[in-house]
Amino acid sequence: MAAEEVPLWTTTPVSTGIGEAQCPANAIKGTAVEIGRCISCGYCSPAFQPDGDPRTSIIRSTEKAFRKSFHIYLFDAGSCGSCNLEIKALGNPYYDMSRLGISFCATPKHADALIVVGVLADGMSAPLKKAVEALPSPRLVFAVGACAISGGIIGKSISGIVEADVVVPGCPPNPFTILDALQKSRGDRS
Amino acid sequence: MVGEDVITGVLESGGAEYEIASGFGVPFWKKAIGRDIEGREDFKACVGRFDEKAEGADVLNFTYGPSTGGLTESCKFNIYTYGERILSLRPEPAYKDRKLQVSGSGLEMANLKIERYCGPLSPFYSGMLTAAVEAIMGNGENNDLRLARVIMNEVSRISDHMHVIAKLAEGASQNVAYNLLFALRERLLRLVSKRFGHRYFFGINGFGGLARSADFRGISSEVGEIADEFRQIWIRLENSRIFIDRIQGTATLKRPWMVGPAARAAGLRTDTRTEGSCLRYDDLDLEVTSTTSADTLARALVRKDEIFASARIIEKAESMIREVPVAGRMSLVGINGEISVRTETPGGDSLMRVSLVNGVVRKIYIRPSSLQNLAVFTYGIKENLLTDLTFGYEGLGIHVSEVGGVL
Repeated sequence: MAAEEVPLWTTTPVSTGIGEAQCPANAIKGTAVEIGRCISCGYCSPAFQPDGDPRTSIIRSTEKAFRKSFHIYLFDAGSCGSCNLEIKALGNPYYDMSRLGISFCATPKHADALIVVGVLADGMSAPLKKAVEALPSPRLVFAVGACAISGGIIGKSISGIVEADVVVPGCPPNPFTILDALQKSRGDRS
Repeated sequence: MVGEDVITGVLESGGAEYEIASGFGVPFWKKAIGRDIEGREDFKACVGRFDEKAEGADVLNFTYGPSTGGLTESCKFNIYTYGERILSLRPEPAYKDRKLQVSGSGLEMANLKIERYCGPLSPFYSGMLTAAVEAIMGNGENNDLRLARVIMNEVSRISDHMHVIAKLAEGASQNVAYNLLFALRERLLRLVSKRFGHRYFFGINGFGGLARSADFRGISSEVGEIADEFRQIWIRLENSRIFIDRIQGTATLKRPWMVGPAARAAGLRTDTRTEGSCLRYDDLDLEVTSTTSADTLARALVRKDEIFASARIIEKAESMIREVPVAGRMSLVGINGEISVRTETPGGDSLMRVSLVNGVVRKIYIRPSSLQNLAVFTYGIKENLLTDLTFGYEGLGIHVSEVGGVL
């Protein structure tokens, strides 16, 4: 992975000490950044600049049973559509998640992990509950993108329905970040 | 449907709801059904309503969605069928309606929210909002800023069209073409990332200028290389009988209210870029292509031609661009006014009506192209087979997030 291939503003902003930061998502407190709230807008520049490291995920629990075969199900709880496309991009030849034994499946009943994107739309609450109930054990739930993690600037997070085992920040997180999180969540190295 | 019009939304005013019909070339607010709403200013989110049903002995309502592996975005489809042929189809796109609250927001926050109204189309929607605010403020057109926005829109159009054609190839099990197309789109997104700092142009469109600097030098040659590679993939795709057989004659529909590639595939040479767009294209050698068979193949052919047309527009725009202004923190306090603006998204004509009071958004109404394309799908897929569903839907490039509207 070359540094220029990472969309800079989806990585963690760090303080430059120049001026005062403006953050519409309230992700910045002093010099600290709550990365799960960051919406990658760049409005904090020049007081903050992105560090260029896409490995921003937070792993709360891992499941080694998925090290050789990992089936994931994309669940759109109310997204703008870009997180969905970044997750689907994992199948393209640049990322080729299948070489790592990771594949999409068509129903949560067959999934090892639920990859939730978007804010929690009212209409998707019941389907999300059903999807979580349908997941067999062992299982992992991912919150991908600022909307699913914190609600971002749009709505409410998915935490009212399910607590995520893995948090993947960004708006949207780039495919490197998502792939890195998938690998770490099953105990593999980044 | 009412005559040749299609219901594309709902206005609420004084506690009453008014259905909105869109006709070809007719402003949305003049076609409310049953009652006169001319001059009404209170409007709320646009939601799709489709009452298509089929009834009778042995008719099965086969429900698909709202969340299933076959759909990139959540949407429920009620498919009325005897088991093979689709008698009628009723989509329910409101499941993932986020009720995006823009009213009451300051303009910079509103712009960030509008970017996330439909992420893959963010330069189109933030471009409409910024153009509307600049028009209300009476700012004269800045030619370099216009050209910069044209380039961002056309790159985004190429990306969206490639995605649609790749999804069709995937549905037809043309896995080599599908992977090549998705790899090509990835190259395009990386080009955007490198030059604009974000793969979907978030945070780049500002009021009176770009919100941060971007690199436009040499962009047309990189896009041109991608377009040339796309041409090679397409030549092989159109020689595949498997691919053509799946999309020829699928979801055929010809109606005067259609927009975008669906309209141009039905012989209607309508393109907002030639009339009424908030961005001028008159000096950019825009060529509007059309064909007449009105099916999924025709829509794919139109999108294919538009990829090359967009590459040529980017080349012309880059040759004319000088210095793109970067917006400072301009004062947006105290702006009042109301205006409608339109743009040609990859899916077709989209309209935004913006109402501001003291620099705060009072209301924004959006009539997106996806709502009309969802109607094309609903009516066009009748009498097709269940296996045609993917091609009818994906060939229209519908973004479900667009259908929800904003509050």
